[in-house]
Amino acid sequence: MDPLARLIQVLGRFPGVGEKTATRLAFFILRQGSEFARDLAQAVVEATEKVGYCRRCQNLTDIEVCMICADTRRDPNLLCVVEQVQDLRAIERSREYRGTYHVLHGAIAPLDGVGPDDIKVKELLARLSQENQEVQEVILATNPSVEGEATALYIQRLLSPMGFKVSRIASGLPMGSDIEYVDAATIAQALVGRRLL
Amino acid sequence: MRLLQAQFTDFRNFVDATVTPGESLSALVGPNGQGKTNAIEAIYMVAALRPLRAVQRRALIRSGCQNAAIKAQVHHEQTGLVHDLEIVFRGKTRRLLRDAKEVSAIDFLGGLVAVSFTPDDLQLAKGSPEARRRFLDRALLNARPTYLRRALRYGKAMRDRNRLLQQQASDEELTAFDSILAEEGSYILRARGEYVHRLAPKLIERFQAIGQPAPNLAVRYASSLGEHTVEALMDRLTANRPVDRRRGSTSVGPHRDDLVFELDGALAKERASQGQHRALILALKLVELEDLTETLQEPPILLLDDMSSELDAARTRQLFHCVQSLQGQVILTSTHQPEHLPTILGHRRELVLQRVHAGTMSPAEQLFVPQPLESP
Ligand SMILES: [Zn+2]
Repeated sequence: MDPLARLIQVLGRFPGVGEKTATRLAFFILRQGSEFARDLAQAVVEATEKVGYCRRCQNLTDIEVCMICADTRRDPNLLCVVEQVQDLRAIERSREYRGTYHVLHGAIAPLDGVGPDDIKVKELLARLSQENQEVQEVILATNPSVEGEATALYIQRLLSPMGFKVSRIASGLPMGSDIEYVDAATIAQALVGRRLL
Repeated sequence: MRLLQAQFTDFRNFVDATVTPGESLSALVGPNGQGKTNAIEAIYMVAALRPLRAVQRRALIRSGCQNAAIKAQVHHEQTGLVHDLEIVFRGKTRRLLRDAKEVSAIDFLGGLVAVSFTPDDLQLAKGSPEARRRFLDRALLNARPTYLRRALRYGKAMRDRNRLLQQQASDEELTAFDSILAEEGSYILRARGEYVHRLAPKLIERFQAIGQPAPNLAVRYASSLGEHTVEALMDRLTANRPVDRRRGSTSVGPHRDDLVFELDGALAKERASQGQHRALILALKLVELEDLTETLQEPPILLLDDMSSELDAARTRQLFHCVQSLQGQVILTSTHQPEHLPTILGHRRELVLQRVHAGTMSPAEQLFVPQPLESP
């Protein structure tokens, strides 16, 4: 296959990238010259070779134990379970949470053929069964979708008998937005989850 | 609620057509097979986000075209605002816009509220329980938009559960999905139960008035569950799990329920005559319409497809008499000659007319209705 066609085909495998965008990206790369191309190729290879799962929390990292797990200022009593690394990053951006994490890399989705063994549940249990571990409360921060909800319920039923305090993040009105602009589903959920003052 | 205008582009057999209904009654007239029902369906889609008849989404787009669009302009009396609603179909996907902003189905619904009455509805009491559950679901969807979200989640959780049953998955995994099913299922059961409870006395009264002499009517929500709490449903799901594992499907929940009509103690679906069926369905639609008017505090739009071919003259007039007392907007299709319509319908106010011919829609014209010499 001619090299340009091959490049377009490879780029076209990115999610959300069609042939048109792939072609534009290929031309962009060609215009940048060989130094950019070598940089790009090296970055891709290095990332795929060096980045793996953190031994403790399954976050993506290039060291054995990720920066968050290695940070002694984090609260070891709190563990927040998320579906994806992107979710962890979103929670980190809030700077409100100082505990540790566990990344599942997915949610239980029977219709997609994803069971508990296909996500990092075993790793979570193994980690929480260790004698010297300090976690007291597990916060389940999976998505409010049917799959995310079922995954949270599944994990809760495994952890409660082990003596952990298990909590679920609240869903409701987004801060900084007026009620009149919030969609009906979110308002309904916020009303169900109301609390006494 | 008033539909000011509806425009269809490459929808079904229409290239580009505009319906501009009047304040009270509008008629789309023409011979069969010209697109009258398609026009009613397009308006209904804006209200319900599903077609009147079960079809593939692709079939909604005119053959040979990539996209189809339905635009509707709706005036809400409650707020005095006019909203632009638009559905754009492209292949199997669909985009929803409310006032030119893309929105979710839940936020789109409620922009236009309509009740449809088509010849298919006359099978409601006789046909499968599924049709009656769909009637309840559509009625509830109109009254409370979050019902849709609950119903979608219920359907998703059930498909997940059925897959797990077929795979002989662990009890722990099934319990997780059972919890969601119980939570959403209980909401659906309570909503349906309350609705039937509220509707039943009104329906009985209306039925007696229409069908003289009418047998005794009883209406109830027949549930696979005695109690509609989350715990009750959860208990039954757990208890039925061994059976469900063998069948590979879920044997209890709102998806198994029915709306039951009894005439003089016998099931209407088995015993009722043709005339009694029609009186029952007519009463049911009228009560649905009244109840919705009460909930919305303004009348929804009534879409009637080819009803005068199915109802006799007296019933047709009864339908119109009731509809007019609600002050709602009515859009109907008819194969009758337009000048006969006022007599057929017993209608004595303005009538807006559009002729449908081979996928084209004529401009709206006012048909002047002679005032009666004395009121009836
Ligand atoms: Zn880590």
